[in-house]
Amino acid sequence: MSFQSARFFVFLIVCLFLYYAVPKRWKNLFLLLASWFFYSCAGTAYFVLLVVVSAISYVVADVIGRAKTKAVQTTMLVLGLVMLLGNLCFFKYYDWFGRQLAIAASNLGSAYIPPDYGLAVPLGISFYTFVLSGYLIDVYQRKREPERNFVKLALFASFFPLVSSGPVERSTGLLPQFDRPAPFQYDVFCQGASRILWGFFKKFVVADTLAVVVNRVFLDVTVHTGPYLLLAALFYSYQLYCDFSGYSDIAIGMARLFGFDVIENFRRPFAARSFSDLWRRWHISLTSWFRQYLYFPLGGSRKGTIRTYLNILLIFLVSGIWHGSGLNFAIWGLLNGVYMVLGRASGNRRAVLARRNPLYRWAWLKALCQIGIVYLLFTSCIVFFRAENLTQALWFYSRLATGWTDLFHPMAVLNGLRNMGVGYATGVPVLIGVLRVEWGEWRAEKEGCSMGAWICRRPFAQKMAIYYLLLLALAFWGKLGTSSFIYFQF
Amino acid sequence: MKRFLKGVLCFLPFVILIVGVNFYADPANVLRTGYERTVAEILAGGENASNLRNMDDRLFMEEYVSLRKEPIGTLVLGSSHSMQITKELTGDENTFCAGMTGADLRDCISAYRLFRENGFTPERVILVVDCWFLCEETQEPRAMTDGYEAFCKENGLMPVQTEAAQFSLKKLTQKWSQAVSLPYFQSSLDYLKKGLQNDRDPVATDSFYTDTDMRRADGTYCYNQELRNVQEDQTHDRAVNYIIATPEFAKNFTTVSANLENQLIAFITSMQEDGVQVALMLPPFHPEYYTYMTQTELYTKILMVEPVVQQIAETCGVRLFGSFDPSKCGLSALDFYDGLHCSDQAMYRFYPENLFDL
Repeated sequence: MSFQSARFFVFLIVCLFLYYAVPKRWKNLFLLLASWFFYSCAGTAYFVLLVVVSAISYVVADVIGRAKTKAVQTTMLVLGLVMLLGNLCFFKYYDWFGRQLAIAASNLGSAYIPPDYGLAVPLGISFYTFVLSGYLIDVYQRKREPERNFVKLALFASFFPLVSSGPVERSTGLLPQFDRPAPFQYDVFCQGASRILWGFFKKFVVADTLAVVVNRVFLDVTVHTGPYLLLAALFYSYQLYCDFSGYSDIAIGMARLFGFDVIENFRRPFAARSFSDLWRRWHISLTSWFRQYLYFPLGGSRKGTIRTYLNILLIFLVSGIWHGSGLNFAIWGLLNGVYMVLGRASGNRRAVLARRNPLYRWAWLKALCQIGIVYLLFTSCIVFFRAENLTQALWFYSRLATGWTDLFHPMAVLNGLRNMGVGYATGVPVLIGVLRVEWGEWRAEKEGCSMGAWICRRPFAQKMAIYYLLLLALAFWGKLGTSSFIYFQF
Repeated sequence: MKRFLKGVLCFLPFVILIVGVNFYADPANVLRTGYERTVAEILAGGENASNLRNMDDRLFMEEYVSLRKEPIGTLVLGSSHSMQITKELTGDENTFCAGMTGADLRDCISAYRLFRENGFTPERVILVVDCWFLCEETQEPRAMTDGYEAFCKENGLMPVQTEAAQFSLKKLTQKWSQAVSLPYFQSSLDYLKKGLQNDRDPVATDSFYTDTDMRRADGTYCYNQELRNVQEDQTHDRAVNYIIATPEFAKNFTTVSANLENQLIAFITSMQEDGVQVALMLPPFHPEYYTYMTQTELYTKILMVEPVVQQIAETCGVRLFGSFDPSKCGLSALDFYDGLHCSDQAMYRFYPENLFDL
């Protein structure tokens, strides 16, 4: 069930109505059944897998909690993590391993072909793997007691607004909220609904309009020249942001409709003035998960400079590989890690140079330059993320230096833009959309609240004007047909 | 609660705007009734129905079969890919193309049985086999399934996705969900911008080609002039659009189903037992789209359908013509209206002479 389908809308309305109608002691069970119903629509076999994984995690955490010795606790933790991560790796990388085995076998003169099980990556497998892994580690580290109520734990792993692509919640964040389900509160509900509408606007108006241009260029990068390839890449960075943060807004907004507070996933990442600051603002739930459960256990920055840099590179490499088995994803991750390391290593020197930079005399110009540089660095990585494979990414870069002299010929520029699919139908909504997104989120950040809360705080007339502008933008320019969210594939 | 209801009421003007525009324009004729009957009456009267808008092809078939009087010599079954097989092409005046948009194997079986049960068992059948016919995950949600269910029951076969009652409910909810649908609103605005709302009724004509979309008396489909008179760069753009959009059959295709293979064989056999001569056709793709398919992993399994159909034709002893590969049909980019549909003139290049020894 996609979030933009009529079927999901009916499902959500029915769930909300029943959730607030059932007695408090049945709310969690109801929500679990609703989440399981939602998940089972994606496939019965994968639903069974989710239930089994949740049950095993429940048992493992219980044993860890009851174990008297560290050895038993550690053993159980390792078993639990192997089960969870092994399950994830099997579904995500079986095909890739199979292909490599077949190639290796062929090179050795064997006709071996690994069995093809026709596996698809189960919906939300990454989400519930990270969520349950974090939970097991939290129990092991005594940050929380094992959850004795299976319904709550299963709900934590399968909560339908989040299960598709997160945000990746913590056991110390969402799980305790199931102990005290909130009654219906109009303001909270309004914030949730506003956030959902904002998410729809970002995804279906801004992101999907940018996608029209980006998809056209990446269909065949060999026919486009440097300026247009660069423009497509710049568009893609923003498309990815609006697509993923739009999904996050919808997910967080939906959780809010039920009265739950969920971890934020984005905080205006393109307002970042350093690369490390960008990664503190981008996909916050996952990057903080990696930091807490991988980076810190590896020693973080406490084991010397070289070790710190290696840890950073490893985290980003793992992040890249998690996104996909292709070499292009690994390179994307590694490149981000390299930029982080270089940024860290050159921090002092850059501060000295910044003080001497005449452009930085004006605060606004300094901010603009820094934001622009960070955006370009991010975009330089994102090409590997977007490209179908490494070959296409390399082709992209090989053609980046071509065609810049065309910029001196207005007709050539217009033709180039037309070939990309940039015209009034795409240009105007994109420009207005981007300005709207940046301005709106800047205002919300200034007031220290979420976008949903910011909209709800406006005076009535202003609030209705915002709602109608967003709804009319969706009605006139939204691409609500069959588009899906980019991060659903991960 | 009062505050909540007041909040909801504030959005009523927006809902009224959407519903109002959708009802007034209704470009796909999903909210109005009687359209299919009107078209069926024109065709049954021996004329072509031009100024055609979107209609429910399945409902149209049911209306048409109740109005037709003459016997059918050659019955053409399939999706929109079958709708360029004219009576001029077959050489049989009593040709009728019962093609339906997006038709799958279940549609074809149901359509054949619909005609047979109404006394129109044809002498010959041309079955246009699309790649999605043989995959259980790419079946058409709109498909006719009554005849298909009965066929499966008679032949001891396992029917695929035939929750008829659920589908009727789905159809009803689909109709009303279109009323509030934002994508439909955008289509409605486009429709109104072109001033088409005052010109929605089908018009009877004897012309073979018209400026508008048309369904001819022999059941074939004539696309509008803009689509027909396509230039090379336009057909390239349309092929590219298909590639970018990745049609549903490509997104959902998993594997060739042995169950559906058996059903196709059983269907051909049952038609032969009815004394019908059967021929199969594989519809070609646009050259650019086909090239993309051969180079893309997503389509590898889809292209496997062709050898499977070849094998089935051999097993059943029926003639097979055409191919997914346009070069095997002698077709170039200019022979296509878009990524999937070749022109009626292009059909002459690969339609065999004496397919049925007429």
